[in-house]
Amino acid sequence: MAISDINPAGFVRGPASDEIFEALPPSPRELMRRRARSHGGLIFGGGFVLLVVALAILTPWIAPYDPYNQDLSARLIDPIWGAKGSWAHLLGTDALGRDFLSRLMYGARVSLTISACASLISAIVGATLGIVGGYFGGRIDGFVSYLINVKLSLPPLLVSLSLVSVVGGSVTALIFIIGFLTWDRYAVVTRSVSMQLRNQEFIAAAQAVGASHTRILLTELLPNVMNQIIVIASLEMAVVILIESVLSFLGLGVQPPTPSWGLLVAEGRSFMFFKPYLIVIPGLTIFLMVIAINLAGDGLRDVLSPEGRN
Amino acid sequence: MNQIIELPGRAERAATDASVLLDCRNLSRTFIVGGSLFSKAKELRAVDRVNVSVRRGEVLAIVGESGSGKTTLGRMMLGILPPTSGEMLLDGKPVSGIDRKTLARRIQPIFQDPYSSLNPRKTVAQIIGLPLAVHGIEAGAARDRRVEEIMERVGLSRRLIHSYPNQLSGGQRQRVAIARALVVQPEIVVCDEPTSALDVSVQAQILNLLVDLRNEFNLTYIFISHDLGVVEYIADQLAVMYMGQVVEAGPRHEVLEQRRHPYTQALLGSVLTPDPSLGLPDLQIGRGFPDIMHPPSGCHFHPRCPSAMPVCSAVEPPAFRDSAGLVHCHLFSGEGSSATRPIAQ
Amino acid sequence: MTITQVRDTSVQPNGGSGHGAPLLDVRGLTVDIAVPAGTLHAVSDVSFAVNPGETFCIVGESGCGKTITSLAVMRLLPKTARIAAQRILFEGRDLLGLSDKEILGLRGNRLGMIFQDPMTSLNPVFTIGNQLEEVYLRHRNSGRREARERAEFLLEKVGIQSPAMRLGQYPHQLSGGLRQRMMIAMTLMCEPALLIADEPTTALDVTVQAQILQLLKNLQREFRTALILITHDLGIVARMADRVAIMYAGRVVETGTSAEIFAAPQHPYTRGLLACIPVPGSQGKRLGSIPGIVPSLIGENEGCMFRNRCPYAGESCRHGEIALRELSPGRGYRCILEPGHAISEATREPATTASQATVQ
Repeated sequence: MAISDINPAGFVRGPASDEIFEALPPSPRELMRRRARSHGGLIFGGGFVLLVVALAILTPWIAPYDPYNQDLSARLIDPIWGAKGSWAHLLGTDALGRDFLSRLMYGARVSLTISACASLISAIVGATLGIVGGYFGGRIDGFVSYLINVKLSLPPLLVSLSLVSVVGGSVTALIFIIGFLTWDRYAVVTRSVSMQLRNQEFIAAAQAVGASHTRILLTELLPNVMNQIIVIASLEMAVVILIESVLSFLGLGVQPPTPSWGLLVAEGRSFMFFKPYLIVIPGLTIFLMVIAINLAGDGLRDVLSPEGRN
Repeated sequence: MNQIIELPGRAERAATDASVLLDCRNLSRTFIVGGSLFSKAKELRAVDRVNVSVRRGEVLAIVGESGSGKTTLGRMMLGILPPTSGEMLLDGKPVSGIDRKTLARRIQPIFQDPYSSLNPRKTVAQIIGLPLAVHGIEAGAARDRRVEEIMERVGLSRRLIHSYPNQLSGGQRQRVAIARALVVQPEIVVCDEPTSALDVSVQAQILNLLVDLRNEFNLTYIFISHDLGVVEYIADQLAVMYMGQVVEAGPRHEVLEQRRHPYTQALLGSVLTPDPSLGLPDLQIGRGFPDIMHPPSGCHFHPRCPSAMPVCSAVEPPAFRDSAGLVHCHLFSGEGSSATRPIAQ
Repeated sequence: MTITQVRDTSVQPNGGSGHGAPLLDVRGLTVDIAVPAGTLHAVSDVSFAVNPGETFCIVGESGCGKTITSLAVMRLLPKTARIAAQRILFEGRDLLGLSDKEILGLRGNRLGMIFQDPMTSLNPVFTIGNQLEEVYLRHRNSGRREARERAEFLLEKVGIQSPAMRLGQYPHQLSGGLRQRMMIAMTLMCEPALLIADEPTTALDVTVQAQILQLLKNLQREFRTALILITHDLGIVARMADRVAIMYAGRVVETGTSAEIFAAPQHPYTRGLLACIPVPGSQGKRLGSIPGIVPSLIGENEGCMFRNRCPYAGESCRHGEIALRELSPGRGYRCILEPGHAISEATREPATTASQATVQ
């Protein structure tokens, strides 16, 4: 008995095709885009950070004055909102008559360069250690855990202080010292994620294909921990900016006359009581930047790895 | 030597049919569990002196419950877990002498969980293309074509080529995993519970596909499963494992009809066929699955065995071999005569 | 969890074999869940009744709504779920109308639930004994000693040796099979009238599965408990069920007694499902299979949800809601095909082939 014999009239053989049965669920990237679009913290924080970065990059073209140009006749002019403020110097001038807005903008370049480079170094060092330890396990992981424990037992500020006082404070020295002192968080997180991933069957499948360890680490594991690395990097940026500011404030970081945010606060210290704007403005900048980075970092975490909350 | 080893064509393969392709001899794997400053490391014998072999073009099913060592055995066959002792012969040559990449082109896996066996950050094209990339076969558009070809063979629509695993259904994911295994044209495919994570209707699709592909590519399957219904459908040879050891092995129909080992009987009895006129089986075996860290003495099955004799707890049962296969049970050794065979329970 | 009650006065006897009122009477249950991409219509217009002491199986593949249905009955759905139903009557009380406090008094007392993974439903930091007694003390006005005696009695009933020792142990010290036995003992502490078991043996080994099912059946007989067994495994259904509801894409597509469903399945999905199971003797033959995949239940859709996988689907399957055809009380299917079409072509007779290979 053929099916057509039994079928009541009007029936067509073969599956009907409808749109609701054919639509693919959204891709991971599309989902991410959707989450990002509706995340206020990410939009606000990320927007502020991007604005500051853009200003820092464009500084040589848009800064009103040379930040090193001293004008002793125009010392300690108030900002525009002050009693003796003038349009010539929007944020006033410092004790040597240098335009404060220009110094703040060039300071952003220095501070942001240091923190970006230092974060890059710490991310590479930490993620490499973490992924390698988590993937191989055993003795290699034992060694990585040992390194992490040693690192965690070092007070970062104290160590950087002593290191800077030995090698001297320069931008390069600061980048490397801060970079090698803040990799622990990357290592801890990537290690635990890699340990979970190691037991996933797609890793076994890659091994069974004959893929080398290097290939598995780079093309199978790394893409799966990349989101976590980005999230930590955004949060660590804030810490790094603070460390740089503290070191420079203490006179062990960027050396004058190079401007950096921490150094600006330090320079303003002696005029704290009668020209408070000299430390309030750079202090507020650091404060806002750190908050914006944290907002953006939290947002990135929500958007990139929502399963990783809490 | 050339990087790419040319595989024998279909005709050549057919000529050597019925010869043993993969032969495991006394294969064991021990894991060291725990062991730190404060606790002593323990030995876990996951696979214990296993002898199994599969002939070209056949399906060898390895059956057992969790903790039986079947997955560990499969990973040793794949070469991703080195055996502690014993050896494996591929076409009569020891596997230990074959380099990893060459072995990978001949033996490929299909894993149980299609959700963890595909990298969530990769597209279908990248996943199926990985073996080609690793072995340096084709590149660019040619590689994509090859990926599309194999996708078509396993019944995946071409429009899925740039989608990510999370956009696919369980069955589609398993098809991707099958495509990845077959894209390098292996001889042996180790299927570790390939359908147990799938829905019934999808399981049937995948089983049919595996049977079709086996005929089309003259594949040899090592089929690892706990589901005797599925195994009965697909297998030619059967090996039943319990706590790391093979307790019974032989041609499928012999093992299923004779069910000489009491554990085989229990396992077969627990298959629930969809027949409402039958009630639930009374297995008559002890309940607890013993602690794999401390296997029982003698025959590992004796605490649960309905036909246990005093000798079972003292002496490890020797292998009894005849035309119907191999069985490790005292009922078939000198102590218990074949008159006490527990078939007619 | 938002509950909407659709008042319906046309109370009809729903299913069952007709002796007395059903223990649980679910009518027109619909569950919508808000998800980021829209509204997920998890359960649509599900009706069934469970009589005292019987085993009722809800069968379906993943995502068919069988678990959501049971959680809706237990009122355990998250806040994002909207429940609407004409009624969910349990022992004559409408579960939808009860306050949170009243439903807490029922759960674990008159209504028991067993989950797939016993580890997640046992608290790892308390001993087994503590957890068993706790259930009893919460619902019964009694002392700890009585609770402990009841716990020991039940552990013996579920086949656990040396119960006194086991009561002092923690969940992680037990094997999966033992844990599931503990769970069963825990749900039986207060002699529930209805036990809902959601895939109770899926996480267990096959030999253990048979033993646990046997245990459930024995206990059910002894305590006269009704059992709703939720499973994807038609083998379990055949061996356990008195009556069956087959679910697909949030709808009940076929209901009937176990014998009716397996001997004369009507819905193309049920038939396809039965043909998919490898049974002894099918070696070398192709398994029947259902092409395609389950449709997404997000968003509005109408017509038969199975039409994209159905060999008989046509234009008339695309529109409107397909009604459940009642063949007799408690026997029906949701399809526009006439009863009895093409049965011989699509199904096997399991009774003849399957019996050959079962050890008895």
